[in-house]
Amino acid sequence: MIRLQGLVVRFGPVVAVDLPALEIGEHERVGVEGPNGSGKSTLLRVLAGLQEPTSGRLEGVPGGAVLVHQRPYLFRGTARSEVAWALRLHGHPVGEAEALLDRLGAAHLADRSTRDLSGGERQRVALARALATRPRLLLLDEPLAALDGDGAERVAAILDDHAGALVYAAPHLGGIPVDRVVRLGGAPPPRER
Amino acid sequence: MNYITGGVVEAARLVVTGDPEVLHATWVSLSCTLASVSLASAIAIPWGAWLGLFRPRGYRAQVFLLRLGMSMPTVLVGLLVFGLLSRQGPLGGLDLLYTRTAIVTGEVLLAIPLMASLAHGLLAGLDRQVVETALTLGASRPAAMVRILGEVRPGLVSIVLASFGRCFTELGVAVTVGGNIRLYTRTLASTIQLELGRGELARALAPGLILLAAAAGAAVAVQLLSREDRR
Repeated sequence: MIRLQGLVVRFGPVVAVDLPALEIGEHERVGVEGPNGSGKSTLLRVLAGLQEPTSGRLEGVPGGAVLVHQRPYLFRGTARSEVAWALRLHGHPVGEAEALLDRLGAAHLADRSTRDLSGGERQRVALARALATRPRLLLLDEPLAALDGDGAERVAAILDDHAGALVYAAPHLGGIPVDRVVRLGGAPPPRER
Repeated sequence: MNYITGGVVEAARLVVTGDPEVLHATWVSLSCTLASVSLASAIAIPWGAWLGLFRPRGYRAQVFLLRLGMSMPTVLVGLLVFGLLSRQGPLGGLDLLYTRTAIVTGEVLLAIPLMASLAHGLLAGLDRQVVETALTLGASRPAAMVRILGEVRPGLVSIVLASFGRCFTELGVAVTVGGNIRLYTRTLASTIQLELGRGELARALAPGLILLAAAAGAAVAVQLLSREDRR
């Protein structure tokens, strides 16, 4: 169980996130909703261990927390080598790269240079790369934004099968089923759905 | 004008006919530079990259140290190495003064701050998301650094070539700790200085032509690698 209490992140005078409490169960799917600049991405970065909070307590974040950025960065190489690197980092067989790309409908991109991929294609490869690490906590920043209808449905179905915890942030949630919604940006405190 | 054109023609003749002294000075310059740039790269690139990517403890002090080293006059570095290697110095027992090893030592000390500073600037200017992506996928810091260095290869090539240029044309260290010994530690740069002092313009220009060719070669290499990288 991930527990977050009294989280405040400030950038100079600007309060980026002010969240009194948040709990995320081991297999729970939490949606984080809020307008642009409400601190969704910052919250995900805190949960991923990439951003130190200004104040507050964060407990129980599992080692395998992976963040997929809104506009993911892909390293130099092919889509296959990108996924293979993530597999290799975690000691998994690199041969699984093909199957992971296939699950996301990106098998045809395996030998394409990551520099030549469109926004939606990059998103699929980045998700395949994240899933290659078998994350216990998957943090997604607007994962469907760049995908077409078919791609979004396929990704949503795969994420629905994901065994670990999942936090999904977007200005308007939809597409990926979640157990609970947290609203940021002056909206009422976290509520059950 | 005839004095200069005549000098250039004679210098070209010395290069083309393979004048033994010019050839040897070229070999000394090239071998010392290759050795020193290789050694310095192994230390300075990871150092500068680590500073730029992870801002470790003592970051500001280390960056200051590198900037200080980068702007230090080469003759001062030569003096420092001279002090270390001279008979009364702490490394005097190794009997390295006036050898090519001494030149390499000095050039390594010259190249490290330059390369580490440039590597730091290159990596510190990188989008934070690149580092975050590697770390969030579970890469250790060293593994993330290696992966990210692969992303900035053209920049690294430019850094290596800049340092190659600095060491290849370097004079202060070569003379101070190399001793400018004929057919032993005499480099292209120290040959120019010596021959000019003797009033031998052609013999001074010959190594100059080689230095110019090396500079042109380096510029072409950067251009080709940049083009390759954009593909």
